[in-house]
Amino acid sequence: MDIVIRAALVFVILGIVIRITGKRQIAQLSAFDLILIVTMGDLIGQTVLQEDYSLTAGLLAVLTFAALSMLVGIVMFWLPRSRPALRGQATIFLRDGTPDEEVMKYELIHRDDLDEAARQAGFRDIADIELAVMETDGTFSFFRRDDSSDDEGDSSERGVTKVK
Amino acid sequence: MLLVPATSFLGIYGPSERTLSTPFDDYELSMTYGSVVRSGQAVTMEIRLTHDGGFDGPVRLAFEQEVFDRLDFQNWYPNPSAEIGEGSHVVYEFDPPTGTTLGISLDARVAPTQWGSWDTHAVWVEIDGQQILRTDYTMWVMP
Repeated sequence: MDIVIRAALVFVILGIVIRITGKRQIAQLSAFDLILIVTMGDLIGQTVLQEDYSLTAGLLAVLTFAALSMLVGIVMFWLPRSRPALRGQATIFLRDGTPDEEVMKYELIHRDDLDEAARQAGFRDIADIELAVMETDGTFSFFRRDDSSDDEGDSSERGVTKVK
Repeated sequence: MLLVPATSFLGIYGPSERTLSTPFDDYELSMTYGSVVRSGQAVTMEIRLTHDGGFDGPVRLAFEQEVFDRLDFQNWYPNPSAEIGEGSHVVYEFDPPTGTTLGISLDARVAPTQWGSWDTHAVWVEIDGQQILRTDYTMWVMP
Protein backbone atom coordinates (compact mmCIF):
# COMPACT_ATOMS: atom_id res chain seq x y z
CA MET A 1 0.00 0.00 0.00
CA ASP A 2 2.74 2.48 0.95
CA ILE A 3 4.48 1.86 -2.37
CA VAL A 4 1.30 2.67 -4.30
CA ILE A 5 0.89 5.92 -2.35
CA ARG A 6 4.54 6.89 -2.85
CA ALA A 7 4.39 6.02 -6.56
CA ALA A 8 1.21 8.09 -6.99
CA LEU A 9 2.75 11.08 -5.20
CA VAL A 10 5.92 10.83 -7.29
CA PHE A 11 3.82 10.58 -10.46
CA VAL A 12 1.99 13.81 -9.56
CA ILE A 13 5.22 15.58 -8.55
CA LEU A 14 6.94 14.51 -11.78
CA GLY A 15 3.95 15.65 -13.80
CA ILE A 16 4.13 19.08 -12.16
CA VAL A 17 7.92 19.27 -12.59
CA ILE A 18 7.67 18.44 -16.29
CA ARG A 19 4.89 20.99 -16.80
CA ILE A 20 6.92 23.65 -14.97
CA THR A 21 10.25 22.97 -16.70
CA GLY A 22 8.53 23.51 -20.00
CA LYS A 23 7.90 21.72 -23.22
CA ARG A 24 11.43 22.24 -24.46
CA GLN A 25 12.76 19.81 -21.85
CA ILE A 26 10.71 16.98 -23.27
CA ALA A 27 11.88 17.03 -26.85
CA GLN A 28 15.31 18.63 -26.71
CA LEU A 29 17.70 17.33 -24.13
CA SER A 30 20.84 19.23 -23.30
CA ALA A 31 23.63 17.55 -21.33
CA PHE A 32 22.22 19.02 -18.12
CA ASP A 33 18.72 17.78 -18.90
CA LEU A 34 20.12 14.30 -19.48
CA ILE A 35 21.88 14.40 -16.11
CA LEU A 36 18.64 15.56 -14.50
CA ILE A 37 16.61 12.77 -16.08
CA VAL A 38 19.09 9.99 -15.30
CA THR A 39 19.51 11.19 -11.72
CA MET A 40 15.78 11.68 -11.34
CA GLY A 41 15.16 8.08 -12.38
CA ASP A 42 17.51 6.83 -9.70
CA LEU A 43 16.08 9.12 -7.04
CA ILE A 44 12.54 8.12 -7.94
CA GLY A 45 13.45 4.46 -7.65
CA GLN A 46 14.80 5.00 -4.16
CA THR A 47 11.88 7.18 -3.14
CA VAL A 48 9.22 4.78 -4.30
CA LEU A 49 10.78 1.43 -3.45
CA GLN A 50 13.08 2.48 -0.60
CA GLU A 51 14.62 -0.76 0.70
CA ASP A 52 12.02 -3.09 -0.70
CA TYR A 53 13.77 -5.47 -3.10
CA SER A 54 10.80 -7.70 -3.84
CA LEU A 55 9.26 -8.34 -7.23
CA THR A 56 5.90 -7.45 -5.69
CA ALA A 57 7.11 -3.95 -4.89
CA GLY A 58 8.46 -3.39 -8.40
CA LEU A 59 5.23 -4.68 -9.90
CA LEU A 60 3.11 -2.42 -7.69
CA ALA A 61 5.19 0.65 -8.58
CA VAL A 62 5.15 -0.04 -12.33
CA LEU A 63 1.42 -0.79 -12.38
CA THR A 64 0.66 2.33 -10.35
CA PHE A 65 2.57 4.50 -12.82
CA ALA A 66 0.94 2.76 -15.78
CA ALA A 67 -2.55 2.99 -14.28
CA LEU A 68 -2.17 6.69 -13.47
CA SER A 69 -0.82 7.37 -16.94
CA MET A 70 -3.86 5.59 -18.39
CA LEU A 71 -6.13 7.52 -16.04
CA VAL A 72 -4.69 10.84 -17.25
CA GLY A 73 -5.37 9.72 -20.83
CA ILE A 74 -8.97 8.85 -19.96
CA VAL A 75 -9.49 12.18 -18.18
CA MET A 76 -8.07 14.11 -21.15
CA PHE A 77 -10.33 12.22 -23.54
CA TRP A 78 -13.58 12.61 -21.61
CA LEU A 79 -12.87 16.03 -20.12
CA PRO A 80 -11.31 18.07 -22.94
CA ARG A 81 -11.16 21.12 -20.70
CA SER A 82 -8.51 19.37 -18.64
CA ARG A 83 -6.18 19.01 -21.62
CA PRO A 84 -4.41 22.38 -21.33
CA ALA A 85 -3.66 21.76 -17.66
CA LEU A 86 -2.60 18.15 -18.10
CA ARG A 87 -0.91 18.24 -21.45
CA GLY A 88 -0.18 21.90 -22.10
CA GLN A 89 -1.03 23.92 -25.17
CA ALA A 90 0.63 24.36 -28.51
CA THR A 91 2.22 27.80 -28.77
CA ILE A 92 2.65 29.95 -31.86
CA PHE A 93 5.99 31.72 -31.60
CA LEU A 94 6.42 33.02 -35.13
CA ARG A 95 3.94 34.59 -37.55
CA ASP A 96 4.59 35.74 -41.08
CA GLY A 97 8.32 35.48 -40.65
CA THR A 98 8.37 37.56 -37.47
CA PRO A 99 9.30 35.84 -34.20
CA ASP A 100 7.17 36.66 -31.16
CA GLU A 101 9.87 37.61 -28.69
CA GLU A 102 7.58 37.45 -25.67
CA VAL A 103 6.44 33.91 -26.43
CA MET A 104 9.97 32.80 -27.25
CA LYS A 105 11.21 34.20 -23.97
CA TYR A 106 8.43 32.46 -22.07
CA GLU A 107 9.08 29.12 -23.78
CA LEU A 108 12.88 29.60 -23.56
CA ILE A 109 13.35 29.33 -27.30
CA HIS A 110 16.59 31.02 -28.23
CA ARG A 111 16.87 32.66 -31.63
CA ASP A 112 19.71 30.29 -32.49
CA ASP A 113 17.44 27.33 -31.75
CA LEU A 114 14.77 28.77 -34.01
CA ASP A 115 17.26 29.30 -36.84
CA GLU A 116 18.64 25.79 -36.42
CA ALA A 117 15.19 24.21 -36.40
CA ALA A 118 14.20 26.25 -39.44
CA ARG A 119 17.30 25.10 -41.32
CA GLN A 120 16.56 21.48 -40.40
CA ALA A 121 13.06 21.96 -41.75
CA GLY A 122 14.50 23.20 -45.04
CA PHE A 123 14.01 26.93 -44.59
CA ARG A 124 16.89 29.13 -45.64
CA ASP A 125 15.25 32.21 -44.15
CA ILE A 126 12.64 32.46 -41.43
CA ALA A 127 10.88 35.02 -43.58
CA ASP A 128 9.67 32.01 -45.58
CA ILE A 129 7.80 30.69 -42.55
CA GLU A 130 4.18 31.67 -42.19
CA LEU A 131 3.67 30.03 -38.80
CA ALA A 132 5.94 28.29 -36.31
CA VAL A 133 4.31 26.32 -33.54
CA MET A 134 5.77 24.67 -30.50
CA GLU A 135 3.69 21.56 -29.99
CA THR A 136 2.76 20.17 -26.57
CA ASP A 137 5.54 17.58 -26.81
CA GLY A 138 8.16 20.28 -27.45
CA THR A 139 8.59 19.71 -31.17
CA PHE A 140 8.45 22.58 -33.67
CA SER A 141 6.00 22.64 -36.56
CA PHE A 142 6.67 25.06 -39.42
CA PHE A 143 4.12 26.17 -41.99
CA ARG A 144 5.51 27.43 -45.26
CA ARG A 145 4.22 30.69 -46.63
CA ASP A 146 1.99 30.16 -49.62
CA ASP A 147 3.86 32.68 -51.74
CA SER A 148 7.20 30.98 -51.19
CA SER A 149 5.70 27.65 -52.22
CA ASP A 150 4.32 29.25 -55.34
CA ASP A 151 7.73 30.69 -56.10
CA GLU A 152 9.25 27.25 -55.99
CA GLY A 153 6.40 25.92 -58.08
CA ASP A 154 5.91 22.88 -55.92
CA SER A 155 2.65 22.73 -54.08
CA SER A 156 3.69 19.49 -52.33
CA GLU A 157 6.03 21.54 -50.13
CA ARG A 158 3.11 23.31 -48.58
CA GLY A 159 2.01 22.31 -45.14
CA VAL A 160 3.72 21.32 -42.00
CA THR A 161 7.32 20.35 -41.30
CA LYS A 162 8.12 18.98 -37.86
CA VAL A 163 11.45 19.37 -36.16
CA LYS A 164 12.49 18.23 -32.71
CA MET B 1 -4.07 -2.76 -14.39
CA LEU B 2 -5.86 -0.78 -11.70
CA LEU B 3 -6.80 -3.92 -9.84
CA VAL B 4 -3.35 -4.74 -8.45
CA PRO B 5 -2.56 -1.26 -7.03
CA ALA B 6 -6.15 -0.96 -5.75
CA THR B 7 -6.09 -4.31 -3.96
CA SER B 8 -2.82 -3.36 -2.26
CA PHE B 9 -4.94 -1.19 0.04
CA LEU B 10 -6.43 -4.40 1.42
CA GLY B 11 -2.95 -5.28 2.67
CA ILE B 12 -2.75 -8.55 0.80
CA TYR B 13 0.71 -7.86 -0.60
CA GLY B 14 2.08 -6.97 2.81
CA PRO B 15 3.70 -5.91 4.92
CA SER B 16 1.26 -6.99 7.57
CA GLU B 17 1.59 -8.40 11.05
CA ARG B 18 -0.29 -10.75 13.29
CA THR B 19 -0.38 -11.48 17.00
CA LEU B 20 -0.58 -14.98 18.44
CA SER B 21 -1.18 -15.73 22.07
CA THR B 22 -0.53 -19.08 23.71
CA PRO B 23 -1.45 -19.59 27.38
CA PHE B 24 -0.25 -22.50 29.48
CA ASP B 25 -0.76 -22.74 33.25
CA ASP B 26 0.49 -19.48 34.73
CA TYR B 27 2.40 -18.61 31.59
CA GLU B 28 1.33 -16.79 28.48
CA LEU B 29 3.43 -16.36 25.37
CA SER B 30 2.34 -13.55 23.09
CA MET B 31 4.05 -12.99 19.79
CA THR B 32 3.56 -10.25 17.19
CA TYR B 33 5.28 -11.05 13.93
CA GLY B 34 5.30 -10.14 10.26
CA SER B 35 2.81 -12.50 8.68
CA VAL B 36 3.22 -11.11 5.16
CA VAL B 37 6.64 -9.64 4.50
CA ARG B 38 8.75 -8.53 1.57
CA SER B 39 12.48 -8.75 0.85
CA GLY B 40 14.63 -6.05 2.36
CA GLN B 41 11.95 -4.62 4.60
CA ALA B 42 12.03 -4.42 8.38
CA VAL B 43 9.99 -7.15 9.98
CA THR B 44 8.16 -7.03 13.28
CA MET B 45 8.92 -9.62 15.93
CA GLU B 46 7.91 -8.85 19.48
CA ILE B 47 7.63 -11.51 22.11
CA ARG B 48 6.06 -11.10 25.52
CA LEU B 49 6.24 -13.87 28.06
CA THR B 50 4.12 -13.40 31.15
CA HIS B 51 4.24 -15.44 34.31
CA ASP B 52 1.98 -14.59 37.23
CA GLY B 53 4.64 -15.38 39.78
CA GLY B 54 7.52 -13.69 37.99
CA PHE B 55 10.74 -15.41 36.95
CA ASP B 56 13.33 -16.93 39.27
CA GLY B 57 15.99 -17.74 36.72
CA PRO B 58 17.01 -17.10 33.10
CA VAL B 59 14.41 -17.48 30.38
CA ARG B 60 15.29 -19.32 27.22
CA LEU B 61 13.66 -18.69 23.86
CA ALA B 62 14.34 -21.12 21.04
CA PHE B 63 14.08 -20.35 17.34
CA GLU B 64 14.27 -22.76 14.46
CA GLN B 65 17.41 -22.49 12.38
CA GLU B 66 15.37 -21.90 9.21
CA VAL B 67 14.25 -18.50 10.47
CA PHE B 68 17.83 -17.33 10.12
CA ASP B 69 17.66 -18.03 6.40
CA ARG B 70 14.53 -15.90 6.13
CA LEU B 71 15.58 -12.95 8.26
CA ASP B 72 18.71 -10.90 8.78
CA PHE B 73 18.88 -10.53 12.54
CA GLN B 74 20.38 -7.21 13.60
CA ASN B 75 19.80 -6.92 17.32
CA TRP B 76 17.66 -8.05 20.21
CA TYR B 77 16.19 -5.62 22.72
CA PRO B 78 17.17 -6.48 25.39
CA ASN B 79 20.24 -8.38 24.30
CA PRO B 80 20.33 -12.04 25.37
CA SER B 81 22.87 -12.99 28.00
CA ALA B 82 23.77 -16.15 26.10
CA GLU B 83 23.23 -17.89 22.76
CA ILE B 84 23.39 -21.62 22.33
CA GLY B 85 23.30 -23.46 19.01
CA GLU B 86 21.39 -26.71 19.27
CA GLY B 87 21.64 -28.00 15.72
CA SER B 88 18.19 -27.46 14.28
CA HIS B 89 17.48 -24.48 16.52
CA VAL B 90 19.17 -21.64 18.38
CA VAL B 91 18.41 -20.90 22.02
CA TYR B 92 18.66 -17.34 23.35
CA GLU B 93 18.94 -16.95 27.07
CA PHE B 94 17.57 -13.79 28.67
CA ASP B 95 18.04 -12.48 32.18
CA PRO B 96 14.82 -12.65 34.20
CA PRO B 97 12.81 -9.42 34.38
CA THR B 98 12.03 -7.82 37.72
CA GLY B 99 8.28 -7.95 37.03
CA THR B 100 5.99 -10.59 35.67
CA THR B 101 6.55 -9.92 31.97
CA LEU B 102 9.59 -10.41 29.80
CA GLY B 103 9.30 -8.28 26.67
CA ILE B 104 11.68 -8.89 23.78
CA SER B 105 11.91 -7.12 20.43
CA LEU B 106 13.90 -8.24 17.47
CA ASP B 107 15.34 -5.75 15.04
CA ALA B 108 15.43 -7.72 11.79
CA ARG B 109 14.94 -7.41 8.07
CA VAL B 110 13.75 -9.91 5.54
CA ALA B 111 16.78 -11.31 3.73
CA PRO B 112 16.89 -9.64 0.31
CA THR B 113 18.00 -12.52 -1.89
CA GLN B 114 15.13 -14.92 -1.36
CA TRP B 115 12.24 -15.81 -3.60
CA GLY B 116 8.70 -16.05 -2.33
CA SER B 117 7.90 -18.65 0.33
CA TRP B 118 5.20 -19.71 2.73
CA ASP B 119 6.70 -21.41 5.75
CA THR B 120 5.64 -22.27 9.26
CA HIS B 121 8.21 -21.86 12.02
CA ALA B 122 8.15 -22.40 15.75
CA VAL B 123 9.33 -20.51 18.77
CA TRP B 124 9.26 -22.06 22.19
CA VAL B 125 10.11 -21.17 25.76
CA GLU B 126 12.39 -23.24 27.96
CA ILE B 127 12.52 -22.75 31.68
CA ASP B 128 14.85 -24.84 33.78
CA GLY B 129 15.69 -26.87 30.70
CA GLN B 130 12.09 -27.74 29.96
CA GLN B 131 9.97 -26.65 27.01
CA ILE B 132 6.85 -25.16 28.55
CA LEU B 133 5.29 -23.20 25.69
CA ARG B 134 5.43 -23.41 21.94
CA THR B 135 3.93 -21.24 19.22
CA ASP B 136 3.86 -22.05 15.53
CA TYR B 137 3.68 -19.07 13.22
CA THR B 138 3.44 -18.83 9.45
CA MET B 139 5.41 -16.23 7.59
CA TRP B 140 4.64 -15.45 3.97
CA VAL B 141 7.56 -13.89 2.15
CA MET B 142 6.22 -12.24 -0.99
CA PRO B 143 8.24 -12.86 -4.17
